[in-house]
Amino acid sequence: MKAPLLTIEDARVRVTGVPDKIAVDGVDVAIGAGEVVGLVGESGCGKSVTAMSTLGLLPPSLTPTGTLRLGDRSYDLGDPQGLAELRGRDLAMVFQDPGTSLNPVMPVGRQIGDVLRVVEERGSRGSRARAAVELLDRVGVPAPDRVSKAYPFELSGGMRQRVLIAMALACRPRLLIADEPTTALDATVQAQIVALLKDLATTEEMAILFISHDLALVGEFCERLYVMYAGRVVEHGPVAAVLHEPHHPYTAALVECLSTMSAGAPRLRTVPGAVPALGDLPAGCRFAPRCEHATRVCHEQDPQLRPAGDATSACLRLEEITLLKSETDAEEAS
Amino acid sequence: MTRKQADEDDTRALFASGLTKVFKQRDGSGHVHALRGVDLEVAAGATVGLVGESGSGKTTFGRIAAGLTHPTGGRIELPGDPGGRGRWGRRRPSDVQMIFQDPRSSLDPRLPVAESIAEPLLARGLSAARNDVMSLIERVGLPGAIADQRPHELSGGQCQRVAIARAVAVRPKLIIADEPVSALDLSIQAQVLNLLKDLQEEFGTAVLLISHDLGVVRFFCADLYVLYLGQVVERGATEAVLRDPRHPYTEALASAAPSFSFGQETTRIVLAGDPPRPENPPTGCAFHTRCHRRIGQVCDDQAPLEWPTQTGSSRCHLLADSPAPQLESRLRLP
Repeated sequence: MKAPLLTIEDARVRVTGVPDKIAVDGVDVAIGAGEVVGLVGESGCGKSVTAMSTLGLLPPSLTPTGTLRLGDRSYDLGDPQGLAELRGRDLAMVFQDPGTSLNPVMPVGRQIGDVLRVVEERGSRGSRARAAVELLDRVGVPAPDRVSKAYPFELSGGMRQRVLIAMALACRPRLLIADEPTTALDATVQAQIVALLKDLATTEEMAILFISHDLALVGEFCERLYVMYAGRVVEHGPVAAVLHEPHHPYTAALVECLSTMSAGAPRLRTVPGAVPALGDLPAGCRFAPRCEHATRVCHEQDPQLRPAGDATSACLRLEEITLLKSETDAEEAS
Repeated sequence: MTRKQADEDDTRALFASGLTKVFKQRDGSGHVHALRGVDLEVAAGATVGLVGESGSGKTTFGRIAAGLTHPTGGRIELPGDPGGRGRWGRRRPSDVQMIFQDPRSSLDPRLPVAESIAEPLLARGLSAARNDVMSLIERVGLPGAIADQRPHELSGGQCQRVAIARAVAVRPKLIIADEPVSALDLSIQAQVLNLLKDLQEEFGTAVLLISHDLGVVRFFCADLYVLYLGQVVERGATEAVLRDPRHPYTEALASAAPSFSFGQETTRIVLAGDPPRPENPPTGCAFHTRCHRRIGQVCDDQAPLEWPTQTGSSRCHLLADSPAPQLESRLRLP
């Protein structure tokens, strides 16, 4: 990894007033300048909550602690006012549903202009309007002049997502947090938006934290990857290492679910059970109740992240177990 | 009923020909042509996939087939209604059951699970003894204790298992599953798909599976129909259609699905523009506005005919030149 642009250290998010309900439990994330990093996991594992905590956008029902470092500055995750100065400047965000993220009664060009007014305190309305058109052009909106005067309901989902990306770019953020930015879009439009983000990461030298439940998409798009399960990072490392040779049984199980589905196998590999509820986390390794490799020690001892090949994994038995063996062998043989 | 009709009734679970559906827009400004002449056949016991993007008409087709809405024109024959007279709106053909995307909203929140499952049996004047219901609950892999719980106490995956138990309770000839797993996490998707496949094989039920996810249909369906703007643009054996698409839209759709062949370079076809709106479909070939293989004026002006392919057909002018031109397959499936 390049020298980190941003690090999140020991992020913890608790349900306010209920100390044993923990949504995020000691997460560390580091992102290099211009790097595209994926954060994956199933719903309820804490990936969106982690992202929202770095932006200071958690609802009052959740209480975060931890530290965010950006360059030589550091911020307390528990201090939303402090984080507010980063938002829209160093950090920007794109959400899943482009329909509900825009003001329905204001032309999109003015909404982009508003970002410039608030963040850059740019005075003249005319210059803001011109900048908005320029931004729309940069995110590949056809006829940006016309679109900047349109209201959100007049635009398609893909177009609205481009508008949101234009808004996020308005102040040249160093990191864009994209939370499931393509999930609400059709497959062919999803391909367009991913291509755009990839392009912007290079041309704007902007790092991207790409949050998704779609392992295959992350595998294509990102350089490094964090896998979360039940509020913790269970594995991270370069995409190729994590997805080709996972060292955590959860990652391996997800990869197998997906590869059996796309390979037209007669039966799909499954992970028995479901993600545990926040207030009902199992002792020891949180994946142990669903893990085929679990032994007694897994149900008792808390695993820590440690080096595993080119990646880092939080599995107590990573030296003893072999994951995805048959597949790797088959590939080597072919 | 003549002998011939009886035979057809036995070998076909669904037969639609020239099916059209026009919705009037609420403000009276125009008409949405959701289906524009769809021919589709599901043999008894067969598994057929229907894929397309939002606005393609796939859900409308499913709703007509389930008897939830009536077609504007064309014919549809269902088990128990071989004459195609249709009993839409009031009563669903009893041999057709439906599974919806959101299992929580398709179950009555006030009914205990066992009563939800018993309901279709009682509605048909069949016996719904507790024992039968309990064995269904067990058959879909749920603990017996769940019988007296209500949907809000269940996880999404569990709710979908209940919906499946309810659908198979009356041993229908045809199940229409509209995005049955897209609201579920990957590991749960695999569990539910395996279950649905087991039951389909065990009971010999035909399944029409509507999905935007090519991985899901590839796993589940032997045959595939691809819908674009209310028309079937390509049909055939699922493997053949996905490995060697004969319509540029199928080709783009298949290439847009993240293929999980990370590490290798995959050529992704990124289509220009948004899908056209169904209230204002383009002239000529409906796909010509976005097509990466447009051959000229003919695409803009003339609606392509249905040309035979190895296992089905494709509606594309490219296939009109004989000998049949080889569409270069950009797809790489394992």
